[in-house]
Amino acid sequence: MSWAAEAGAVFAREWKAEWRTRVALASVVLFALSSLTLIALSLRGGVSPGPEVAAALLWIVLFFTATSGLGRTFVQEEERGTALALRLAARSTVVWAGKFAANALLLLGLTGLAAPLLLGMLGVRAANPGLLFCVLVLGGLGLAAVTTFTAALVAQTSSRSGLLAVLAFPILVPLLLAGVHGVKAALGVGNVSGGWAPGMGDLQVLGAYAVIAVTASLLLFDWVWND
Amino acid sequence: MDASPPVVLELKDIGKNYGGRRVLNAIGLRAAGGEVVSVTGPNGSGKSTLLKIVAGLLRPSRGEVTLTIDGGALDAAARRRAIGYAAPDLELYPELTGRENLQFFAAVRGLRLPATEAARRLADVGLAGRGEDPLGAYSSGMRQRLRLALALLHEPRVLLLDEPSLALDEGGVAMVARIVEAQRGAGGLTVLATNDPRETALGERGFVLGG
Repeated sequence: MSWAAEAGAVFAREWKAEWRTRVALASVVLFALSSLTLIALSLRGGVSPGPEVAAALLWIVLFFTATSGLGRTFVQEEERGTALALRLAARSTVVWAGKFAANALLLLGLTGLAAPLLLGMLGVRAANPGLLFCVLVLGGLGLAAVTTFTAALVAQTSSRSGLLAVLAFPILVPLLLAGVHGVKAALGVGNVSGGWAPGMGDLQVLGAYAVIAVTASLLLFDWVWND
Repeated sequence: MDASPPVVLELKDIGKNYGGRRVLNAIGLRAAGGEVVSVTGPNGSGKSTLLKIVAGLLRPSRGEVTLTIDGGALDAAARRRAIGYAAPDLELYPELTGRENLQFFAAVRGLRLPATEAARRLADVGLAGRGEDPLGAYSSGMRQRLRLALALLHEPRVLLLDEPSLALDEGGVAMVARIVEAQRGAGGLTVLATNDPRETALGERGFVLGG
């Protein structure tokens, strides 16, 4: 079997276990929905805060959802003692890739749910839905890659709770800046015609970030996982 | 002609400290395929630590582990995947069934394990008919049997068994003896960490760790 098939086995196990327990799914969906509900309640009857604030709120929800829900993947392996069997059987890059793919799918699915809800609640329409989709997909991939790698790092420490967000945030600043700016462009800020040009620079940053994050994680993961 | 045996494990001056506490000091051993080595010693003497170092799961504070298979020396990463390892702290996925656990670990090793073959492997360790039960419903003895099936999954040339009869009934203890004999017969090397006299009797070489 190929490397991809081995990583696919890790991905399939993650989703099979998640489907049977629904622990991470419940955690991220609850977090996202409760955040969105709070935002909706605080804005009830008021003036829409506009696309600038909507873009920031969307990334705040995605960032904290990722750090609260996706971090469990490695912590659970260490706490339950299954990491030992996984270390013995699987190549380190296979473990990272399978878990990254599972996390990315979960995060992108959640983004597909949260983004329309948030924008709908705030009364903000996308001037360029295609650009919004591309920004969120590329941003989600980068966010999932960094969160998956940092989660493995945090799982090796004794103080796990809260550490993931603290460690991941400085690494994610370029992604969050480009993500917020790209979403603003997609929502029509400085882009009344809804063109692609105002968001192309952000897409390039997000694409490059995702590629670098995946490559660096694959190169460094063995050191985190086995040492 | 190369007269060296196909499997050779060599430990040179192995030491391990946890913080300021020295667990292992200057351990040396050379063992070859076809041998069964039993490592004994009081609780806390470092038996499990030594097996983890040999397996490549722990880095020694000092010294060197060399595992040579068919003339090629394996680094720690290759050692981890080459050996078969069973230990009480090796846990499997409770949300999967016994069969799914075996198939998952076969798949990440790059092996295809059809359901019929998985059922045969489970029957070999006394889990016939229990493959579809979730692991959460397994007793500690059944989990130990599944660990042994997992250790044998890739037909390893080196088998590291840490207290292999733990939680097993008499039939299970006899099964461990059969596994060790089969490994010896196939020219493989077995290292047992144990204080159980029934297990130490399986080894022709004893290695005693101090307290």
